[in-house]
Amino acid sequence: MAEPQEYLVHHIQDALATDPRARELGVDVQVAGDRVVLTGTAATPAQRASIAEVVSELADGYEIVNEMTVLSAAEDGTIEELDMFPAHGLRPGRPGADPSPSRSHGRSDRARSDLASPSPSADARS
Amino acid sequence: MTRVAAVADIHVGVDSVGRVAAGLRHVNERADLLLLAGDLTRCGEPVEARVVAQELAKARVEIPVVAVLGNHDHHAGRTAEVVGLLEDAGVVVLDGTATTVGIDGTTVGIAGAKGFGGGFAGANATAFGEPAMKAFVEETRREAARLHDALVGVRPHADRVIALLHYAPVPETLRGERLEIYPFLGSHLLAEAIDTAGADLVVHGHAHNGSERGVTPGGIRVRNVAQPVIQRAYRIYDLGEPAVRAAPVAATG
Repeated sequence: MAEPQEYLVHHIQDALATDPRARELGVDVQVAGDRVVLTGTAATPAQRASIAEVVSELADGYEIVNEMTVLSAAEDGTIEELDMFPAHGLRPGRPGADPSPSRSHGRSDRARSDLASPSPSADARS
Repeated sequence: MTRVAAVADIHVGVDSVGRVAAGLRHVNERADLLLLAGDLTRCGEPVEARVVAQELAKARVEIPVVAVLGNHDHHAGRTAEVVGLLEDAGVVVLDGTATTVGIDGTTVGIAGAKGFGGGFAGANATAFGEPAMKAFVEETRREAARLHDALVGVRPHADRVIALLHYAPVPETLRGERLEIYPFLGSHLLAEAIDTAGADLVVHGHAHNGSERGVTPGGIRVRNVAQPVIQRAYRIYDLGEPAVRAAPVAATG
């Protein structure tokens, strides 16, 4: 009788952590019908392929659907400007620190009132 | 401007040659400092750390590079060699320690530690029962205490302070991960240490399916820069203009 699917998922995840060809914990393994579906991110195309190879050796009789992506390492110049919270962090007791919100927020053009809610709108595309 | 580039979980293996360098070509002109928040290597093998060093050299990274190790970097049990290779390449590796970097008159202090798991308030591990359970919680407590002390130690010397971790201090940056694994992804003890000591920004990785932005209970911004989360070579955070100091200090600084 075939191994219960829950145990198969566990065995696959163990193998992905320990097999020298994989060594990846960030793989989501789902067994659905006669398929094993892999999602998550591999560091390189070679690692993506070898992860599928490790899984196929364990999941005999299953079709391996490899939906993993490869780490995107493209460089871009996006900068998130972080207005420093005046009410937290380093003010108390630090020599040379400036406790004044108006001074630590001296960049009046950027000062925001919603200091307690970091938001995606803080992004500035360059 | 104080521009901090940050990335975690680059998981460099021997098949990663060329991939990291390609993403760092412009980092010198875009940022003043590069933070690597753990899991630099796939399994902590020295041969992989050597690839990291070579990639940094190939990309001609000249800005200061400050790192902490992650769980993957510990797997082979050869952290001393890994740290040695990274340090030979000019990387400052923090482990319950701190460093400062001068940027255009602003001193940025970075206190770093790997951190560890245990979960978050209301659903966290406690040091009760078997020795293994106590050891698990003790590891997190120790990491949190060392991070706290490093933050406190660097504060008097810095205008801005960054806490650099591999594990997550808050659950907000884990959104997207399965709830069941939160205790393996971070601990609120880390956030408590940071809030007690004070910092301007917390940078971590480890949670590949998490979210980029969060905040500690004390209101300090947290950023998860795991590369699968940020989907780019690194993120850049601008910590703002140089802090205003008393005039005599600024004049001599």
